[in-house]
Amino acid sequence: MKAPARLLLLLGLLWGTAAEARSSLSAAELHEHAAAVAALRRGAPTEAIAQLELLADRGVVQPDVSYDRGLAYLTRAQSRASQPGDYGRAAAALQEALRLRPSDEGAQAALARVQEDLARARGRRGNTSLMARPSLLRAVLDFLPESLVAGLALAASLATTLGLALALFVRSVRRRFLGRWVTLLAGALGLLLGTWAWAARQQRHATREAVVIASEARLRDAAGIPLRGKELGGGDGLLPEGALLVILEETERFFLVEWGAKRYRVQRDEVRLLARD
Amino acid sequence: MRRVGPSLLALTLSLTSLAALAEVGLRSGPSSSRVEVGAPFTVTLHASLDGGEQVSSPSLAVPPGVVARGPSVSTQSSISMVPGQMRRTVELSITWTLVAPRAGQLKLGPASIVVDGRRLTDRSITVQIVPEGSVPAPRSRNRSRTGSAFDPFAAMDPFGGGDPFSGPMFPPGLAQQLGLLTPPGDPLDDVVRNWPEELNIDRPLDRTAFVDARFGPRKVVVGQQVTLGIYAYARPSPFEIAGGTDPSREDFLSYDLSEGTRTSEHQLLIGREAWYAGKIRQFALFPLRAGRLRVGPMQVTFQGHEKVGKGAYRELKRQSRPLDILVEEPPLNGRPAGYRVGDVGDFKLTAQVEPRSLQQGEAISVRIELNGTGQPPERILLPELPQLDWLPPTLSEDIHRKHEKIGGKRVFQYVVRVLGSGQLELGKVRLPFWNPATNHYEMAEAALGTVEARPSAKPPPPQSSTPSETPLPAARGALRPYQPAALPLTERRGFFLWLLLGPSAVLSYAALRRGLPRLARWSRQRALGPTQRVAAEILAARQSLSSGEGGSAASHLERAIHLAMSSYLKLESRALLRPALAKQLSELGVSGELSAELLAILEAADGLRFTGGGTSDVASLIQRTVRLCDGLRASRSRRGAQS
Repeated sequence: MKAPARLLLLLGLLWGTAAEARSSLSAAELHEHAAAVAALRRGAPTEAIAQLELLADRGVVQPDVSYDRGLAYLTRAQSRASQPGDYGRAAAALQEALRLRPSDEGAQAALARVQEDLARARGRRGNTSLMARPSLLRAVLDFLPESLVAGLALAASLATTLGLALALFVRSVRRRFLGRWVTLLAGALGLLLGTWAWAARQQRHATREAVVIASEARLRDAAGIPLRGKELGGGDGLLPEGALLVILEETERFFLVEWGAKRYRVQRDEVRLLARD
Repeated sequence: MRRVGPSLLALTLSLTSLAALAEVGLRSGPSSSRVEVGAPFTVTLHASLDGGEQVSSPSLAVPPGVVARGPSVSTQSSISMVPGQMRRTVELSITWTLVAPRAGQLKLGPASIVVDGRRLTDRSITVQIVPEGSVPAPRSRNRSRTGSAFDPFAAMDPFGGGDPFSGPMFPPGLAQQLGLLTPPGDPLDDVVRNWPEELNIDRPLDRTAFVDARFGPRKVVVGQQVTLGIYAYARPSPFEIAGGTDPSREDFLSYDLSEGTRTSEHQLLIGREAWYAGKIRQFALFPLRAGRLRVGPMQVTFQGHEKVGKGAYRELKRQSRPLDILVEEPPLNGRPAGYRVGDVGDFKLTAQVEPRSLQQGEAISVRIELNGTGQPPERILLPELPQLDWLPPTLSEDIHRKHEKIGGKRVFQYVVRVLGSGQLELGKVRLPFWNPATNHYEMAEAALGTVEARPSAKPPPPQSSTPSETPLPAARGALRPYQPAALPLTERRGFFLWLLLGPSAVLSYAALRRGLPRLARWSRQRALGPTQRVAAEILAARQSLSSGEGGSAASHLERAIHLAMSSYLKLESRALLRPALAKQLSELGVSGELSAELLAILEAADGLRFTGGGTSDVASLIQRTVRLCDGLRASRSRRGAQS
């Protein structure tokens, strides 16, 4: 490994270990989780959901708890006692588990199953719900992890510093020439990466992810009036259950969501925000 | 001026003697000539009759704004015996109770009555209305709306609470016997004191009419009843509501409580003014979500009963202020599992199961009744047993008003297939709810008991309706260790400053390194004479040459030349173009040869500044500059000698 790369890695490790670890579940919360799991195992998903939702309401953020909640909703969705929105809530809980622990293969498999069942249900109903791609800016910002961009920006800053030192303080004309070019290139790159990192940070702070938990969530205009095909340039203005949304702004009754390159409102009770650690 | 009198009063005194009208004597006067604002006083019209006259329609003209009630009538008869004749006299006292709203001279009357079809009128009366507190308080009965706890003079009151017709001196019901409309025991309290407490308001919101919306309780949780009352106020005369629109309330489930509860119009005092008021609408609102929820304004059209004075109104439109109601969720602390936000009230559950004995695979009927106050929830928690298959329920409800509270019952009628066999314990149905009266979560429960299911030869299929073939994965009993993702680098304190730190530190250092010597040189030069400053620049050029900085050396040489011109020739040459400079030098008497050399050196320095040039070129240029500066100094000396 080259020296700059080693330096970067060391810096990242130092900064990474400084992150605060979350406290684990209290004894009472562990007990409630155990009761929920027991209910789920004996075929009482509604009881399990009640316990697990209570934990979520209390602010417990733990990937396995989220996974079990998703599983409880999925179990009920596939039973005779199913209720509207069970699949969406299962998708929300499993997405949450994956956000907290991206390597969770069980959650990935369960989420795939939820999405498969939802797609099948939509197919049976003959719905043509909207599917949209993220905006260009979001696609660019999400292309590389924020920390990697930040690390590269830091490296570019170091290179710029080095280039400037060469250009200003070394007598050798050749080295000065080299220093000027390094300053120019690394400075431009640092400016670009620093802006990228800043924009990614702003986006992370200003937005939240959510999942549609209603059978269908309707896109609305600024006044909260449902939009139809013409106003949307096609489609019926319905967001499919289980769809992942980016929330830009919250009001008392609506969420402002980014859907494709445009922004719309959806009712708060039609989507569920994903918990963040 | 309006006339006050019982509209249907037909006061008839049937007396035995017939006497001429001319013998009727009228005399009227106030109870006091100085009365405080808002304090009640009376005006009494005394009439002396010989008897047998038909007396009716007593009347007293009062200015607008003055509250007048009455009249009340009392009679006193006397019989006098003169030789050969018995004479009977009736003294009639007609009393109005008045309250004046503002200070000033109050002209009342004249008071009048109709005697045998002819109206007889007395003189007008003047009463001085003074500000509150100007008149010493008389020892009187307690006028508190709620009544006095202790009145030492009450026992000595001959009228029994101020009512001239109900005291021990008079037989009960005399006023009714006389056909008066004024209720007994009511000189003042029933007029301007005894209005419903809910009509109280601190100050009027308008001079003539206004609508006020009020709600309670002030702080509620989602699903808790808020009672919204809308009240109309107007003056100076009674009014009717000719129309209006209800307030918007889209964030609430709403029940109209107005029907049958509309209060009659009351007369009341707001501050010192007399108003008419009544509750016109009442709603029970159940908030559907947390937040600051708005109730819109209610628009009302007032219709005055009569046109009186300046305050007359026919079609007066007013609207209430919008209200913001703060709604929260019930606390998380102590919240039971299965509680749904919005289930608020006080509920009880009862359940009936029929039949108790059946064949496996058959169904039982479960009737669950939810009773209580509050909006009855739409879902209850059912026991989840694999032996039972609960089919969707049939719901019926009976929600009604109980003393301004919404309540009632909701009946869930389930058909439940019994999939297992044997003695089956059905468990309990439950409903966790928040009780605002106790500020605690409570649980309504009803046990379903047991059923006896006889085994069937053909057991029913399992209840699962799983669309996928693959079984679901197991729940995670044990929680795996979880380390939240490290914060991104951008979250480190001052990350973006760190990005700028390196380059800016280098640039700052360079600036200091070059700037400080220049600063020192500049300050030194300021202390030197012209020749020394030129010499210093030439020395700096030599130093730059020795450190290999040809461009820098050229710059020093250029500065040396400009300094020399400035010092020796008083010529500020930096801003001059070369042709202009040549002309100026010529005008200053500098020889053409010297002038040409100067321009050539400046040209060469210009070139060297950008290219750096060779060491020998720079060294040669320094020598030429030294000679040039000497020449310029000599030129100055010559010019001095000539002048």
